[in-house]
Amino acid sequence: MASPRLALAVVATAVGFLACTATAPATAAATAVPHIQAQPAQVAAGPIDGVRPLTGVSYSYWGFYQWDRAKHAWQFSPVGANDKQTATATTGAVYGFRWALVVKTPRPPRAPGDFAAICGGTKAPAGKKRIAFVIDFGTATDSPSSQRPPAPRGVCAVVPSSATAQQALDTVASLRTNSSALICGIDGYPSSGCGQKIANATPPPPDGRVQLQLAGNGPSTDSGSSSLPWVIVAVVVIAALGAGAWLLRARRA
Amino acid sequence: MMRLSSDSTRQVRSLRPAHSITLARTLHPGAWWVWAIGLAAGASRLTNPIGCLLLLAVAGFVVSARRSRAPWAYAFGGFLKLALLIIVIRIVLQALLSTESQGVHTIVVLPQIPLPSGAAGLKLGGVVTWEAVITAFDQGLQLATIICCIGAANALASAQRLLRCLPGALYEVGVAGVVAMTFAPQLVADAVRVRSALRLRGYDGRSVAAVRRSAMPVLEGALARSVDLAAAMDSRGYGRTTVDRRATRMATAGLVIGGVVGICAGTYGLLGSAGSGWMGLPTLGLGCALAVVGLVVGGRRTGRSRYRPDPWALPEWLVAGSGVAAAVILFLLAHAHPGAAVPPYPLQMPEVPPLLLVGALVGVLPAFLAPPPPDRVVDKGRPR
Repeated sequence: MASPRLALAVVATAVGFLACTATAPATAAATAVPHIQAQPAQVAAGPIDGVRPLTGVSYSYWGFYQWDRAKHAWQFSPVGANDKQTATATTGAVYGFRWALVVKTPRPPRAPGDFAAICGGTKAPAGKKRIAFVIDFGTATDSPSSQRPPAPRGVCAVVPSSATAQQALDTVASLRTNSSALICGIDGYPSSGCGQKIANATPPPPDGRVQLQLAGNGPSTDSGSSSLPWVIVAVVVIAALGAGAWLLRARRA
Repeated sequence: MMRLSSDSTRQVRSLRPAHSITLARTLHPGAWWVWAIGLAAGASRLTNPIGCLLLLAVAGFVVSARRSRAPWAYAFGGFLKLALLIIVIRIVLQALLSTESQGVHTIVVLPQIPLPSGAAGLKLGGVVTWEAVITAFDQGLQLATIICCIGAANALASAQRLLRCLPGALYEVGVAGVVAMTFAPQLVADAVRVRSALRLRGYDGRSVAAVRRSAMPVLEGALARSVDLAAAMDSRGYGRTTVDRRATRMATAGLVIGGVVGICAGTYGLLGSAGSGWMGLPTLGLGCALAVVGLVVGGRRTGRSRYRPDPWALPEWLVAGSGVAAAVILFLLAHAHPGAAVPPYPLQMPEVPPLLLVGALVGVLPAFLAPPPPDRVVDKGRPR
């Protein structure tokens, strides 16, 4: 995957630095992330069958799981959270998101997908469906930085029947996505980056079971950016520079 | 310049008119390109729309303040139009055709044309959300800013003067570049002149017959000019090689090509946020070293002289330094405040840390530190 891009970069620079700088950021975003959630083909070759660990590289990322009611177990989702296929889910579906360092085996949420417990007290009007979410922020050893993982929570989304899993999750949690709509952070965890590549990681200890926090249905308020004065300063500077450019142009034309 | 050592000559050097930032002269084109590439590299780390707009405004202001009256100096407007087009295309493609970055805040629901399930990530019509439109706008604006920074360099620096600064090892490329850069505009000017002459005589300037009639004088003029240019280049030592060993030539070519490939790979690794370690700084450093060695070795084989070489003095250092400083500050910002460089939530007001303002405003310094172009100052009656 890298070599055609590299060739592109070489050719582009031969034409001029313009093309090189212009294409690099546009194409680079696609390579920034291990394509795990969005692309089914790569998921199949990913952590499930243990192909990736052979290369000695592991990833920590938000894994997307579906609750299998018949087997009473989590299944690694064969499609991404924004796939059209997830839009066909009806009331009763339970989705799990788990931030974990995955070395060999998939690591699903540590709490079962109990639809009745999560969505039991919620009513949906006609034309809408109820989707239960289990959001497990993982353990401290999974954390990509010194950031402490919040407590796992369960939440019920009431959304139009055509919504995908990601759109449903968007209504009950604040999602940070990259340019390919891959989920990079949920409720501000982790606060930066989009999945992390770890070479030669030691397998984490097996997961225990945890109790979900069911209170607080709604996106957590993490928008603590109080830089509004600077935004105003920046807008004034932009306006001043623009006006200055215009005046200089008019005077000298 | 380093050979000057006695106190008196040092004093003379510090008084060299080239060091003045107010004396009207043409700045070294390399300085403008370093400045512009610095801004573009900084913009490659920002999808923050306010940051990108700041950089756009900075580039536009510097262009207005320091451009000459040459034809290429009016290129920036064209680049701005290209930028608008890029943003519009990005929004249309992403909002209408892509299922990516689609949030929950719907603007409008268009009639959707169903596609076969093989077209993953593609759709035609359907729901258009604010998230998709704003994300597309931010990314389009980033690309537009990078292109406008390069456009600013095009407007401020003469491409012909830049080609003259090419190191001796690349002189074949330089010759081809100079000839192309000189002849394409002259050919167009000739064609326009001949066509208007035809129309003054009552012919239609656009018919096939008119083209046939004007082809001859245009080509004749081009041939005459090329003979003139060849004579001029010949007299300055172009085409004369002092070392003619095949092994040296091959080694030079290998070093330069290897170096350029290394620089490309390193720049890609550094600018693209792919972030694989070996592709970033080490490759860039190795490529630069190879290229420099190749250029030095190759430079010895040509013995051409330069006609009035552009000086690289204090204003050049200041302009190039401002671009590099802007890039460094914006890279630091992307490292320290990733949420401000790439806002995570498209619908929220983007964060603007003071560092972002500082980084962008460092880039505006050439509007005051670069010497004014001579053809602008003559109007005011000041000496050249």
